[in-house]
Amino acid sequence: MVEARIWEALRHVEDPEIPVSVLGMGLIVSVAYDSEARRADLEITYTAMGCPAMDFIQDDIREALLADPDIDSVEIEVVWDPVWTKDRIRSDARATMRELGIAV
Amino acid sequence: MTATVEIHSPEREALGHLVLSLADNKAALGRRYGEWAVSAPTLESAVAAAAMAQDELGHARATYPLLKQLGLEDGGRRSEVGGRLPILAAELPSWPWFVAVNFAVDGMLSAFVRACEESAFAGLAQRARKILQEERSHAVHARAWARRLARAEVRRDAFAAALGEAWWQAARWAGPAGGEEFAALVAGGFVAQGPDELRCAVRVMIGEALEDTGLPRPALPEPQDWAGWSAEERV
Repeated sequence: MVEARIWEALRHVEDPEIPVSVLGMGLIVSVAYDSEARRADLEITYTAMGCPAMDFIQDDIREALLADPDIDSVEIEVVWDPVWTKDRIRSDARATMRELGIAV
Repeated sequence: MTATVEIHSPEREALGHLVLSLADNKAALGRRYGEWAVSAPTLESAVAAAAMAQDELGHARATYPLLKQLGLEDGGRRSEVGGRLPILAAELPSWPWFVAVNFAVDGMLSAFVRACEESAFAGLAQRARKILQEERSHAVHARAWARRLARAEVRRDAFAAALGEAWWQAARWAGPAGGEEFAALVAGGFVAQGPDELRCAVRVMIGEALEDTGLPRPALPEPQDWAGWSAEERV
């Protein structure tokens, strides 16, 4: 239940550089909810190791998830496996990016 | 969520030296590349220098936390504190030096990272795959510019001199052949290749790239004098 709400919340967290959600960009690797600790645990990856928007994105994710009444804390781990490639971009995000003139 | 991994001495310390030096040198490379982001010979190369700088700083930032996983200090480090090769200690004096460093130093670090792709240290292996994905464009840039400089009569000598120095330092970074440090790491499955093989890989890469350019094949000698070399400083 809460896990589903986490996924839904992530649909509304946009990449600061492209108006596509972090979900659409394929940045979210895993989501879990610890009901006892009331904590959301996320594994996320980035398009590039030097992505300058990492901190912004993580702040936005935290803000979005902490708005949920059942979440008191958010743990985010950055992982590099799987390696992000364009294949991780969701089809709806691909369509949005093409409309913006971004080749994917 | 990041846990300390069970790697015992002497492999733990040996990995620590290499990981820290890798991160420090990548942080320093990022700084040196970034200094050319507005002064490279072409606009395209200036943009490439900026992009490569960003990559290297990202690689350093992602690599430092591995020290914490090893149970060593400096896991919170975000930029180099002196543990880089001397050639990266100050602004690179000219574009041929930039290309030589891009070619030999970045090339040696990438050869090491490639040797860690299947490392028994999972955190290192995971990062290695992402780093290598991003390093492909660095290698293309180095090769293209090295060939261009090698063909240009006016800058050929300057490039050859810079490449000689960059190779000397990069070759020493890998450490002495038959050293205990790498032997333990190779035996333990943490690194797939030892210093000789790393130097050979970079030597072949440089030799192939400069073929047919008119530049006499660079000597790229095997380091002989290891007096004063330390696993921490790697020079």
